[in-house]
Amino acid sequence: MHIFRPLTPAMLAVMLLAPAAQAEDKTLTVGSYGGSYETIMKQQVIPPFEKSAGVQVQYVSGNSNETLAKIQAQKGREDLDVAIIDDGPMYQAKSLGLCARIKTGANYGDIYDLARMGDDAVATGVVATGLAYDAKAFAAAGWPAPASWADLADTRFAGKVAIPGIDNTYGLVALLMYARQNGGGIDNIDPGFAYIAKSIAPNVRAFESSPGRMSELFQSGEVSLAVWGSGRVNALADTGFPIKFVYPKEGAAALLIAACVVNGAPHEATAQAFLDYLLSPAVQGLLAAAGNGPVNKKVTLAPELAARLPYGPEQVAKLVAFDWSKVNPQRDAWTKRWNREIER
Amino acid sequence: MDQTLESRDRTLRRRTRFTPLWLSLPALALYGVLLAVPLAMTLVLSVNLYDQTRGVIPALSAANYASVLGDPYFQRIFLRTLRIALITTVVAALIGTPEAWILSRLAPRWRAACLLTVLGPLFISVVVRTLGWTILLGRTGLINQALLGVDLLDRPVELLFTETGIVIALVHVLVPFVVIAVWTALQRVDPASERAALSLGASGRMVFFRIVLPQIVPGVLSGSVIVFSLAASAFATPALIGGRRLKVVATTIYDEFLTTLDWPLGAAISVLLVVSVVAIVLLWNRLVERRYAAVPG
Repeated sequence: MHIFRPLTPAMLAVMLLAPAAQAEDKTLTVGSYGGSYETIMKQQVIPPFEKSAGVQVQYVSGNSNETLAKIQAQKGREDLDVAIIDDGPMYQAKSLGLCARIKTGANYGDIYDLARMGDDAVATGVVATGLAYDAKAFAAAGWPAPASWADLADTRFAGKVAIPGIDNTYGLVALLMYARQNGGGIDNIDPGFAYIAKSIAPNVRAFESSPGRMSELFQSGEVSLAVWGSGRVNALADTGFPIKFVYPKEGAAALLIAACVVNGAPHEATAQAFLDYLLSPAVQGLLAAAGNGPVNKKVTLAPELAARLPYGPEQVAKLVAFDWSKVNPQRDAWTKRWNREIER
Repeated sequence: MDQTLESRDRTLRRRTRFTPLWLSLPALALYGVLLAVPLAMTLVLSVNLYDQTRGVIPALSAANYASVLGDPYFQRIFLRTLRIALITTVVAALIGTPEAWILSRLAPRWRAACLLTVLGPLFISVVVRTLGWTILLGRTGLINQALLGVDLLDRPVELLFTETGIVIALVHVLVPFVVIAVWTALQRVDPASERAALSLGASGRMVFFRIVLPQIVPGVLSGSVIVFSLAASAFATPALIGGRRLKVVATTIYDEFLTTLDWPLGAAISVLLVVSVVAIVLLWNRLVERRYAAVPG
């Protein structure tokens, strides 16, 4: 979620306090994202838990791959108790046996099925990959708002469409979604390639993986419709640009913010309690402010916040989650094919 | 007396015999560490193999080269790169040569200002400059707005995400290299020869084409070599203006190294790029030397 930041205050604190923290047995160590997520966790989510559970919580920030690397490196002499990372890396952690079995708590029963990632990891939040469109340009041309993934094939939008490349999660998800809608899926990707090459690619102005360049393509009016993530759309909309996010009627793809208790965690019981605490309606409401759609069915959000996130049973039921443990091994072959058949 | 002088002379000669070597040692070390070693490592990497689950496997295999040379996908990328580099070189030479000649005839005050403008692109970061071009070249960009505004076109001309766009942006930054090379050649042209031609009744056109141009051709050609090799290995401009569809060799290398993580294949493509550019430049140099060996610089 955020890029390498070697010496955040939190990391510095951990480096300095680590020996002391180990001696004192009441310290739970959590590895997760930096940025706005870290701020909300430290200021609002963690303090009540520290009070009720009678522990200290150390927060170690880093992006998903860094946290994954940490729990992999410390195997056998665990330091981190809880890891909160993107679903792709989490599937890697699961397959490497780095996650402990979850002891389901009071809130586990209230979460959407989508959030249950097997018996050793759980999603604590969800962001969506769907369609983004320039509301002003659409209004000016008299086009109705896009509603379906298939709208990208509409010849009206010829030369106005952008898709991230397959080196980017959004581009990969677009391929999987088109495969799904055309009778295929993770195990049968051919229909996805065929459909994109034949119907979508002729409309595509640019395959653009960089979020900055994608924003610029919208701002300069080069493109008006794209496959993109809800978080990115919010960020561009916050600058005042009339971009809107659409959950296509066939369903948007889900990117899960996944959590697990590290296998061999020094404070496993507290870690399990913390995981359940993250799923509670109160915390889910707080995390929504950091851009995470709630996974707990009982959460109610203010309308303006709800509009920015995948929210509510109807919207969440339509989200499609992919099994990254099946996607990851095929990625190289798909990239080669994408370069030859799509980006040409 | 003679004896001492001679022996002193000998000691001096002995002492200074290795001076050139010592003096060039820092430069040699720099080249060795920053050029020879990375090149050798790339060469070694390019004969290794890659497996998705096992990573880079040490080996001695020509498989990467075979898969690049035998794949129409890579052939197209190499052809596109060479085509862009060649067109850029020709256009840059056609613009840069008269530009340098005009500059050399300006009053010194104007010359400094104009030279600064010509060299300007070199002072700006390549990313900033290229992003500027994407704004100018776009469908709603300044160039299209101007052309549509004066009713020259009824629909925008496609420049962004085209080879033409890449060539325009590359020429912009590479023209200074031709200007500098031709400028240097012009300094050696004796102004008396121009005046002599004029006094014998030659027109201004004839003076340029028959007197000046033949004397500065070596400058044009050496400038072109620089432009060609820089255009063939350009990364940021094709990446930003061409987009992911118009891949060139440099952007393909980047993708192999950072997206696919197939380092050996990326290294093989790098080696092939270096080899083809060096081969073309050497061939060019030989042609130039044969043709112009007789022409006094």
